[in-house]
Amino acid sequence: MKAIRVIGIGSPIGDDQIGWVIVDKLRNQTVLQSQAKIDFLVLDRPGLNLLSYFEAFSHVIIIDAVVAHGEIGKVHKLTKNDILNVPTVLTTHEISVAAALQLGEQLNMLPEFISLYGIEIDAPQQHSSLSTQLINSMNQSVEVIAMEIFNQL
Amino acid sequence: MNQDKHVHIPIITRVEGEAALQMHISNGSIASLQLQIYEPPRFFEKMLEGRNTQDLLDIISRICGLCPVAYQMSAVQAVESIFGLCPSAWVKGMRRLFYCGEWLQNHSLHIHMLALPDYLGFDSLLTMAKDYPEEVKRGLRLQKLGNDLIALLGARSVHPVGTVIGGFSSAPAREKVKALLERLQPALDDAYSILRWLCKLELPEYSHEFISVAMSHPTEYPMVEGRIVSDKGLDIRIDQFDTVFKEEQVTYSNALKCSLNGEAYLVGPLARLNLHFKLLPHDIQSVVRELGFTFPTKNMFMSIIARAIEMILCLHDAIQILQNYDYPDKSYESVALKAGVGFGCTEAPRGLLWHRYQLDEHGLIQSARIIPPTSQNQARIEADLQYSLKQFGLNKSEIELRFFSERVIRNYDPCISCSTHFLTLSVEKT
Repeated sequence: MKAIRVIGIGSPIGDDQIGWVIVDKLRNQTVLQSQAKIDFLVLDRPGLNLLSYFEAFSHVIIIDAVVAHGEIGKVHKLTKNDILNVPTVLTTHEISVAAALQLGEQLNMLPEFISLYGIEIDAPQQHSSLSTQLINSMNQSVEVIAMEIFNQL
Repeated sequence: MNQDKHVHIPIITRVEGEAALQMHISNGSIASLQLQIYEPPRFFEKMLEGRNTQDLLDIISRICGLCPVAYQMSAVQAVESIFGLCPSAWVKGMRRLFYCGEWLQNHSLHIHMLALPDYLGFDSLLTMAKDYPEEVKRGLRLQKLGNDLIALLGARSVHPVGTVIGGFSSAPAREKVKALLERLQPALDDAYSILRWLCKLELPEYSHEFISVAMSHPTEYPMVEGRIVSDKGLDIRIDQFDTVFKEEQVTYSNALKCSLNGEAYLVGPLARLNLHFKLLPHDIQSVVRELGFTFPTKNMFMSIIARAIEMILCLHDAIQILQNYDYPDKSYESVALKAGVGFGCTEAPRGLLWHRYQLDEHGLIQSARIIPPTSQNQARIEADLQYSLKQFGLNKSEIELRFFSERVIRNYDPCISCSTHFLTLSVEKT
């Protein structure tokens, strides 16, 4: 049984797909290849359905784009406690990852260990590919996250 | 005692989109009441001009993240009527299945996330979840199943991409159909459980007269096609919409208001059930009667029950459609482009969604008109508030009036982003 699920969350809009791209690159990282304990998954705007993808995993790592007005490409790591304390409003207009996870906590649906890597992007764009700035910083982000995942095995 | 009250709810919570309510009570009566939809207009109808019909389907689904299927289905019906295309039985079945997925996920989301906190004494789903975890998880399961039904045909549930003029870009693989079918029966049991559970809620009783409007079909509970009818004798083709329905702009709202022969009217699950309860499968009718519910009803607080009943219908229909699934020779019919005007009308989760398009000989859109259900319900919401608040008691505190007003509005499950999809734009240059 796999112990760790790595989930890339995103959408096809510009840099919002960075979670997907990083997960695809993580699959091919030498330190993680052939690790039977790891499962990789990409999700398109899952909303509250995100919670249904945690079952049977003791450890979930989520990778998603964030807008925190910092340096583009910076990797923010949020622990379970950090996520559960993010101010959120649960609305059908936009169900954020943090809001979904906070609901999951109330429902006892979260795995024992959960962390979120937020990749800093600029404000939402309307093109279909990653920005140059993000592409340039991506490899470093991938290495950092890959090592952190490896250390949790 | 002359008591002037001004009740202002700047942001109505637990509805989709942004709107406010402004009310002035004077000398014991409502002097003015405005549902102020301030979400900015989004000009979709203008955006569609000059586009081809496949772009139409991609763009139109983005009017709403909650009901993209509805927009695509009304659009595709309108365009196919211009091209003289009659969808195959397979396509019709798949479109109904597609719609079942959307109704299921929308209704489950509304019941559990928007409406139930009021009934159970919580301010949000988050606080409610701790005390009702199994019930909330059940709602999430059904919502996910609805999304997965949409994704079966649309490749994804958010802005699905599988719809094409003439059908779907591809047919679902038999293995995927089988896997979904295995989840549907337990889900049907869940949906019945939800209805039985909702039976225990204390539903406020604020019955008053209103007109119910919905689509009508001779043999099935209306979803994807039919005529437009009311419980006051209206029975028209969809291309006759403009003969009796009129839209008007009001200064305080970015959504147009719609009236039927000058009167407000209701569209949505309660209107559908009021008109077509007897078209439900007999099993469902029996359970509804056994639980003591009666339709037609003039109590808008029964909307939560109407949605729960429609969830059962969706699962019932989805099981039937998928049990009889056959992989088709082709998943869509080719079309020959033609100029003309076409109309489409289907039942979005929140009610009637009417489209009109004019195409040129290259199949490019010359003009588009879209009338979503929430625009149509706007006048009804205001009329309901006028009536229900008087019954509730205008001498109540402002906090009580605000809370009650929000509950009345939530009965309609307004999708405000849909209602502001356009505004008539005139530009004067000097």
